[in-house]
Amino acid sequence: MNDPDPLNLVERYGEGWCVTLAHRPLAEALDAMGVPAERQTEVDAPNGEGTDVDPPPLLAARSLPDGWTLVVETSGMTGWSGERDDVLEALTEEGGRALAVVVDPSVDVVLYAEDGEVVLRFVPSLAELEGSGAERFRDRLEKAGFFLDEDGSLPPELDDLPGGRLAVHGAELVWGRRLTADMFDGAAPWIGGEPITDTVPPAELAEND
Amino acid sequence: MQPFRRGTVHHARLTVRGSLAALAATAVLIAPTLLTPPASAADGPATAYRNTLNNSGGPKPMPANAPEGAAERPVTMDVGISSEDLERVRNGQRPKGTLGTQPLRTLGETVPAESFTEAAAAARAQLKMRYEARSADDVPPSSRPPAEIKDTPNAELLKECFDGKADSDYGNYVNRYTYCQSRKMTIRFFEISPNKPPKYHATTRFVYELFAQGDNKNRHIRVFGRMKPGSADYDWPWYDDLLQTPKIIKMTMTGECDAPEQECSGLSGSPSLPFGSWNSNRTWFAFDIADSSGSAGTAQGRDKISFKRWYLGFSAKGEGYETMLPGRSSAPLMRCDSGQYFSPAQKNACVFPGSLSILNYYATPGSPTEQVGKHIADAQYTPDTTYPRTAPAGTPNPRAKRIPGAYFNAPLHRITEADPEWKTNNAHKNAACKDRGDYKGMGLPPEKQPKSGQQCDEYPFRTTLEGAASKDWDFSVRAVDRSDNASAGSRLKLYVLHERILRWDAGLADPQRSNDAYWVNIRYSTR
Repeated sequence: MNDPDPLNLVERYGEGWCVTLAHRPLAEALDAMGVPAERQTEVDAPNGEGTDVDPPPLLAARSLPDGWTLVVETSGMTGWSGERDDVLEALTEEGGRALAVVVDPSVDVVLYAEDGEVVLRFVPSLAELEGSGAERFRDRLEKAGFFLDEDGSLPPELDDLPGGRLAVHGAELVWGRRLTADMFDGAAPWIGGEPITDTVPPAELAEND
Repeated sequence: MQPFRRGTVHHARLTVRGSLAALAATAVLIAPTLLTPPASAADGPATAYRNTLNNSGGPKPMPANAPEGAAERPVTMDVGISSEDLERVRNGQRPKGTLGTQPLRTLGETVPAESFTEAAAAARAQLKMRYEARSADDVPPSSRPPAEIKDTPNAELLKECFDGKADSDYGNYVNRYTYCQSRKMTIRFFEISPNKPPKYHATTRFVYELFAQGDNKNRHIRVFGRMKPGSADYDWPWYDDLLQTPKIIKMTMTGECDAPEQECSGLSGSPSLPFGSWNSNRTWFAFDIADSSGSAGTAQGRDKISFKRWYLGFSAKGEGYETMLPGRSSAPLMRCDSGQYFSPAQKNACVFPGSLSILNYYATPGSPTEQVGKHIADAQYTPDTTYPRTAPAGTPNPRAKRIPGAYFNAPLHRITEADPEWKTNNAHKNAACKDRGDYKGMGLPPEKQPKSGQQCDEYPFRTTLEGAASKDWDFSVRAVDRSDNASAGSRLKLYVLHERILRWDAGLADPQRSNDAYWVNIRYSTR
């Protein structure tokens, strides 16, 4: 697959978001990502409006065909759940698979885990692969253009892609499937909630100043 | 009553930028040649008044982009009444309004038009003055989303704004979407007679308050204005007071844009009330000012930027009185754009570029951005302690590192993932983090490189023109926890959205002055 037209999630969610795909039922996936069953409820479709001063982290999930669950985070105020090794390990216990793609002002990274282990950490803008499973994906990614030339740049067809779409393209190659607009659009409800976190919420910091 | 001396014109300045002391001095100096009779006896008294002003070579208005921030200067307006009507009033009769409606000098005649570059330079000059006036500890709060524009001012922002220093030429900014000002206005009333110089008659003073909100969905602002309740003060002859004349005369308030109508205009009506009613009315009147530079073809650059000045206009009429010279508030700038990359619902906006744009990170213990905050503070204040070094270990540093973005230093300029610098910044950062390539021997040593659960943080941010690949500036890298990095990144994402920080556009005229800039301030407890 070498799709020159990957989905633009930056346009949809702004400059910071994390999309996680887990081969688990929705409720189990959310639970593993920090939103236990009692906190799960129907939530608004995620967007990048930034209407809150310090928006709480909110996970919003949808069921996809073939047993996959899509989870979207647009606020990383206490870190991206999908980026955490322990979360990806929990999502993939007992033979499961999971993939997370994170794009924000600091990073662009694709993480892939299977059977309880994060086996790949891939930085699309640098065409860098790390992890015990890196060699399995290297050939596929290099054939799609994820390699650096002598000048340290990606080939033109990938170098021209903005960072967010480049990351989506890389994630699709790792996943082996397309991320399509209808996965994010439409009337199907989003289920989610605020994950349990032990980080001090920003609102409390103001009292300390 | 102030004595009137022949040869002296007691008229007030149109603009708020000249001092009355200078005006008085000017008037005295030119007194011998001040007065010229009207061209013909057929000219009405108002013409005589204008001729008086014209012939006096009176004080010229200051350019619109003259620096503000001097000592308090009153806002003024001149109103006249014919001698016949004034005599009627003295005799207890109703005035007949014999002065006639006069075509008012519009402010377009008095405020020189500004080019885009001049307006952008004025915005930057305002910013610089505000910047220099603030102490290092006096920082605005972290970003917040622009408040929805409603029929009345946002109560929370209103209080916050007026709790600050709103009573100045400069006014007060809460953020780039919220502005307010409170100023004293002086209205001088004159008796106008043909073949005679205007004769001072009375003064009314009051405080006006204005509160403005920028729109994050349209090229538009809404300005709320009112007379501060209870602030009116009338210095009138006893017979006028008896007739309640000063309180009966009507004042009209308007919201105006200082630009050709096809580019920018006030859309709202013009409330007109007796002074007495203004003085007892707590209502805020709303004025919408819309920018149409985009469709008029005069907006600039990729994001169709325009800078326009706006203000509240004041005029008075009634009981025989007509406005000779309208009054106006000082004229802050609004910057409108049609940047398409903020969010689907926010493709047009107007902000107030005179507001300082400062992103605050908290480095207090336990803060989600504690590690990033400390990293940025070290990069800004002790850059030579950071990696990459400027020389390998054991070799003297050939020069000091220079890293921008601190509150009193060179600012940062936004880029996005669509800009080529985004990738090159990333490449330089990565090489420094892994101590290889051009940074071999100068990047993070192995023991300082990110471990499991960590990422390599960089400052200035990847999303700035001043990032790691910049040829003009140095940068810093440090291993921080992933959650810290994600939290800092999320704050930055929201900040540029909330403050409408536009992406760098090299194609703008005078790009350093015309492009948005911001600073990063670290707040942390005493170490």
